[in-house]
Amino acid sequence: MLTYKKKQKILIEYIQNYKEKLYRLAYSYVKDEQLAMDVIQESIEKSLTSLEKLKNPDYIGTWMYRIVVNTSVNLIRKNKKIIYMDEVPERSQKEEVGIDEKMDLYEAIDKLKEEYKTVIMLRYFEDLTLNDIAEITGVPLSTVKTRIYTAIRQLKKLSKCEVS
Amino acid sequence: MKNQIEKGKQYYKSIQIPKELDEMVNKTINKSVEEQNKKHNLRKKITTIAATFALCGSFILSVNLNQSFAEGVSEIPVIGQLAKLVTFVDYEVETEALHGNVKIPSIEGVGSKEFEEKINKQINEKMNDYLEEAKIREEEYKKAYLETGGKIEEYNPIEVTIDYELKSASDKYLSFIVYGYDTLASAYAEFNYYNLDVENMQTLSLEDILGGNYIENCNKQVIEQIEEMKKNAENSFFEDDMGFTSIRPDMNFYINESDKVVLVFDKYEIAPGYMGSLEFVIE
Repeated sequence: MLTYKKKQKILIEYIQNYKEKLYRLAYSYVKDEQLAMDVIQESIEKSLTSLEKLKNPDYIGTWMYRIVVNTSVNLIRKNKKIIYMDEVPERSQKEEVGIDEKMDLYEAIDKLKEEYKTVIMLRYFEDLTLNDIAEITGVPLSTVKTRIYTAIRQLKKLSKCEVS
Repeated sequence: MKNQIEKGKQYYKSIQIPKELDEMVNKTINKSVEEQNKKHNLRKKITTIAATFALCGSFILSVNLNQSFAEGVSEIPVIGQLAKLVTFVDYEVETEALHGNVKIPSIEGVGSKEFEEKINKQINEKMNDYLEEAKIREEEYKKAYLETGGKIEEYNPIEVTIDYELKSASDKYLSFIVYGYDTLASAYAEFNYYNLDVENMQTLSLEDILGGNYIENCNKQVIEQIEEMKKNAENSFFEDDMGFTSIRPDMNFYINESDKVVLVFDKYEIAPGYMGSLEFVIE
């Protein structure tokens, strides 16, 4: 067990060292600079106020990722609702699809459901281990594996669609 | 597919980091930490008030006997599972000559009650002595003040503070300082360094930690660090015999959070007063 102060120090150090990574992760969800900044701000606040819940500082990385992923996903959900209520016409996805070029994988990932998107980003862009991903997403390892396979299958399909 | 993933990753890595990120992160951290620490301090304060309340009027300094009370006050765990340093007593003393804030710690959870009691008794006696001495000193000062024509209305009680500072706590070591000082003169400040080996239940000397060659080794490192500090024109040290010559086996030191020995030189010991007390981390 560590003192509260010591844990606080470790966390602050972690945030300072990895803020850019955390920002990119958040940005990949919300696709907007200001929103991504909001996510990071909220995540830092959350992490520092709920620090007592972090029992083992070895997991500080996965714990922080989890906070950022959850905060991002929540924000997207909230924003979606707002868009529905304001009756804004559907998002500009059609335009993107209309591009002749084969769709970038990065864009294709955006079309995946959140749980698939998360595993792909964490696995291939953040180079995390399957165990870490299980830890972050809070699902069993086997589920992480299935999600990755499903996600890849869907991505292939999406890419193919673009080619034809 | 692999290529695509690589491409996606490239794209991911190239997401622009806004210039404002640094500033926002710093601000958010500072704000959150401040709020959190306030909460923690509030808890501490409540305990302090409770302690002062309980002791008010009783004016007994040897609360050591009162175990159940001590347990009540010690709700502020400073460190984790094994050894911890807790506030044993926390109260205010008010006499005509002085106003004292007394906070004496005790160790607990070390594993050996005997060792624990020995150390706690030592801390308690030392600090109670200090307080007694301060009382006599302040009483004399007041007398002198009045005799030399000072007016009683204008006399301000001397502030005496007894407090402690935890330096580090691990499964191996518990390192802390118990100190006392007053507003009369810095010459009366007293710092007691405690470095405990909580595995083997003993107080540690420099030699215990650093081994036989420690004097030579420490001297070399201190000299190196002084030379490094001298590069900054704002720092200055006493030279020759007045300055640093060698460390002393009984000098003050503590163990920092990375389990490193930190040597502490008092103010004026090796450098002019404005340099304050100086610390050297030994690798």
